[in-house]
Amino acid sequence: MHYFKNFFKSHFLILILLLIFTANFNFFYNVYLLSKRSYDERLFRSYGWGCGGLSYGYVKKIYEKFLEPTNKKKLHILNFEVHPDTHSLFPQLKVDSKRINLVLLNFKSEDKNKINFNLDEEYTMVDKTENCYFFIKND
Amino acid sequence: MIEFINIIIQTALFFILSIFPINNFTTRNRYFYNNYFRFIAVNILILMSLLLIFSFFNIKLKTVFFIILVLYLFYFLINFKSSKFLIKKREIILYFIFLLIFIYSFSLITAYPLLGWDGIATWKIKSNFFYNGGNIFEFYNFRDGEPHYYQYPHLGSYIWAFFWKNSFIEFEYLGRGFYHYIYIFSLFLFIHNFKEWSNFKKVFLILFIYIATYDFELEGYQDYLIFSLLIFVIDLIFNYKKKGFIFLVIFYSICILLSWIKNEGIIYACFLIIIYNFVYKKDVSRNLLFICLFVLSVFFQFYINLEIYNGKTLFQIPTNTNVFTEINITLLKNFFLIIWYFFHSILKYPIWIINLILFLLLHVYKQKKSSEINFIKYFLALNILFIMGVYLQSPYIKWHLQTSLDRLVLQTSGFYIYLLLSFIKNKKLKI
Repeated sequence: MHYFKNFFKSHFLILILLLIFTANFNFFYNVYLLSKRSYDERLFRSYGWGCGGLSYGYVKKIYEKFLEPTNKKKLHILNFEVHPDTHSLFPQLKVDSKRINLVLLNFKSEDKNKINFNLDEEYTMVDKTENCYFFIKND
Repeated sequence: MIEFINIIIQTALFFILSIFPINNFTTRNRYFYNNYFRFIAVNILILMSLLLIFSFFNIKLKTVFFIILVLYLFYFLINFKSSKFLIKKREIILYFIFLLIFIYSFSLITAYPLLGWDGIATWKIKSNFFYNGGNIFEFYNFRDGEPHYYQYPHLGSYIWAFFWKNSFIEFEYLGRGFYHYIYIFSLFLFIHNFKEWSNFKKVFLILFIYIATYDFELEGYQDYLIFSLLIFVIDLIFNYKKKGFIFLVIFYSICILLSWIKNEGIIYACFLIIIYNFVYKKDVSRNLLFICLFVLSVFFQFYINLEIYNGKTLFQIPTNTNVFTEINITLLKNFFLIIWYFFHSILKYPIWIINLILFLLLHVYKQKKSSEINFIKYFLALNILFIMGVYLQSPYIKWHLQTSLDRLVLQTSGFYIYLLLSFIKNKKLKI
């Protein structure tokens, strides 16, 4: 008991400092978040639920609904807003350089002249959420 | 809660891999005497060097982990000597605080697993590639016939993938945690030099530097690795008095590691080697083997970029060398633009306020000129030249300054803070 009393006395200021730092970091809240929200939910909250920005939620939906069952984990993603590549958020997802599975993010009708292929003739639309589209190339 | 337990396990893994193979049971080197932080620094360098070597071979990340464990165990058994050196009670609390601050920091990136722009666009792509068993000699990101981001070195991403793969739940942030580990550790390595300070003063300064340098927007970036390695190297310069063979091995290892983390790491490494040979008036022939090794390592990187990836440039943007042939008003305007954005960066990373005060005090108090102070002064001069050289020739200078100058400023900020040590050691100023 005496040892702890001494320890507390000599390190009181450090404990206060660490306590301030703990509050600054929201440490306890962060631990609470870890137990409350799943990793997926935290990713959705960080990168977006559905269509917009990086459109993590939309690409995740396409990945789980259309790619995982067929085991062809390849996508060609074109984002018409300036954002980093959503591809990298999916470690197993490869770049579809033949552009068979095509995802257009934040795509508006006036963006058609920005692409160098005929979307209407070459592709069939499989899924649409707001301004995000999933196309598959016609055989 | 499972994730939090995994954070603790991963922290334990980082700690175990950094207290082996060199420790008080396996070495008698005076550099390490009474300073367990230096053991950890050297062990981190050994780990990073091993990972760099393994990254050139097609070996699975889990196998690499087991090879490293076996190597460490083997080394420990061969070199085991009994040791009387024990960590002082006063210091144990510092190790505890180090782990505590690291867990705080780790929990932050776990709760908000958000990466910065380059983290997503560049480094995570590379990391994914290694995580999936990729090899450096393959194209890791092939788009419309062109490899993307081939000119960025790979070591940081390989380390990320290594710890990501060798974790129980395999979430990417568990790999990225190592960046925080080495960054926070480097602050403790610096602070441990103030032997006469109370723990409160030490912790206070650590927390100040942490707040003055940490930026959540740089999650997934490599800048903190460069920051930490530069602290490792200046700590070595200040504290390794007899600059013999072991010193050279550690010094040049850091230079090689820097060159495999980011492009600017090559430039910093060149500065360090030039200044070292100049300041310590060393016979260059004595270092020739190490210099050759470094040059070979850099050329190997260029070879991979140019020949294997068939890249067209080593650097990230096209250059505009015409700027230097015509000294005109644009050049002057650009010069002031760089100064302007440098002050922006100071506001972002206030550690530079301390650095600038230290440089000012150095000038005012006319410190006794030591090799260490000269080392820092020459590095600053070359760094200014480098920054001017990079930005003055940039065709998109404003965009370039806005997006990257703050990071260049951050990378070297820890290096200059060692001036504080020279003031304390000389006892001309009492802080």
